[in-house]
Amino acid sequence: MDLNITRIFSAAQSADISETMNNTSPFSERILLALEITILGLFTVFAVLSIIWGVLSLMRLFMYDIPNRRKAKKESGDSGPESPSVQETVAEAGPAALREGPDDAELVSAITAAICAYTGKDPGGFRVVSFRRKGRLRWDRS
Amino acid sequence: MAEFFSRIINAVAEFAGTTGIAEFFSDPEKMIKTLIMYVIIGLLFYLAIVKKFEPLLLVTIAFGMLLANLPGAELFHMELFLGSELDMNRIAKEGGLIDLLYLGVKLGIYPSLIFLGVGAMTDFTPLIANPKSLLLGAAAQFGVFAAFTGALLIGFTPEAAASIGIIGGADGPTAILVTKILEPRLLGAIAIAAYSYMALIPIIQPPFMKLLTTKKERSIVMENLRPVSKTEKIVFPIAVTLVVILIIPDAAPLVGMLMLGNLFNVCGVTERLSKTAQNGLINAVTICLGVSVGATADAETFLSIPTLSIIFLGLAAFVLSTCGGLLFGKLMCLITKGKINPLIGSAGVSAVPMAARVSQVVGQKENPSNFLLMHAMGPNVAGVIGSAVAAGVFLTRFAG
Repeated sequence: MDLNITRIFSAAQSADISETMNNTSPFSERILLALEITILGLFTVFAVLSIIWGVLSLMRLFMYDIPNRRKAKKESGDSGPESPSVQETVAEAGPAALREGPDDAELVSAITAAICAYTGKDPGGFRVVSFRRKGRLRWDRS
Repeated sequence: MAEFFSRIINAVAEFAGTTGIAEFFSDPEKMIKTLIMYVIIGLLFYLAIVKKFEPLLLVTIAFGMLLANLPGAELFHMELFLGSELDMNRIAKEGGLIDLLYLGVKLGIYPSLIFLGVGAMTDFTPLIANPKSLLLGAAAQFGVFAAFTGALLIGFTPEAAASIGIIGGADGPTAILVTKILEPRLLGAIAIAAYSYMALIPIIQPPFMKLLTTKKERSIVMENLRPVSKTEKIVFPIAVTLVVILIIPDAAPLVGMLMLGNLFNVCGVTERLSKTAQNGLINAVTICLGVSVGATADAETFLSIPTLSIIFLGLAAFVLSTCGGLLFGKLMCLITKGKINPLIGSAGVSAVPMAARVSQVVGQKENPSNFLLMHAMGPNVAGVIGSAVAAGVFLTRFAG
């Protein structure tokens, strides 16, 4: 097997590290180069990351907002007989739709359990479709 | 009998002359330089083992430095890797273990594989939930270009200046990849400066965070992040790969591998690959990378004016990147009427997750009920992408 692979790398010819400080170009030229690269570099970084921001905003619209709106609409249409007091609480919670994901499932379970404990009702009698944190928790204020 | 003893004594003397101890004392100037290197190596071991700062990399880099500075060992031969051509036959014939390991650095394999593991370990959810934080990751690249300017003005060549500037990105693999392409002779100094400063982030950043923000700003409690759907998590790495590489093809090795690793993690069907990238692969590559990069820092090349300049400029790059992120954070705080805590801006220097942890700690000191960690993770991972883009700009301009 022929291992003599030739690749083009930097033009460095010796191991002398001090050669890296041998910039002989005039100071004014160096300032111009520094300005050029700084402007080009920062502009490119901001431009690329801004484009990604735009892509993420589109992703949010099509993969999060619209499906959740549809889901919320469907669920509000499907919702069966619910306890009036619980329905009131749900309506007060605002428009935030029930979101998917393991964290929310856990949160919904916890909220459902808390409502059951508070109202003494059976968990089959109502369904948590949305929730929103109201104000700061008491232990946050301590 | 006397002749026999004379032979034995000669053999012992000859053997003694070949030992590293004899070589150590043979040249007083080299001996002093080697002793200084041992002090630096000791300091790196101290930071890694006692202070637990970036131990996985600093222990291996420091040990690589120790191997490179053992008189007579001659484990690494930089001359095999310099010049316009890489002669693989010569490396295979004349090179030793470290030379062969160094091929992974020279061919750009290790930094990209490390990024694969980093991608598999990184949770981009905070960034997807709050894409505004991408701008903080961009602003924190200011130090990269400021350090580049400084290096250029004090006489470094543009290639060397770009390699020094990228230290400000606070991203070891990116710094190594850029340096190995643009100015491999500075690799040891730049890798050691980058990883040492990354390790020292909890010490470097807080004074500037306090200096540039008010108590009121530091106490701002940010709104909870929205949940992110699985579809968004899966589309994100593919979309970022397309956007970044189509604009800056030179960033492909880093961004491509970072996003592939992330896709392994989030897609849900490649659990084995994700686990391998996060554990076995990244650990093995870290050993090879650390030892071979450390071995490039022998006393003769390391103790020089350029290295001292790199250490100073690297620190300046870190500080300016931190300040860039913080000042942009203040601007965003102003625009959003106090909804953004500017402390999360300092996390825009990549150094994941250390920089985000520092934002959390400094924020919690002002307001114990404040949890900034997840908010700071957004700019933090944006910084990884930002520094890869900055690296791509340097490579596009100078790699020729």
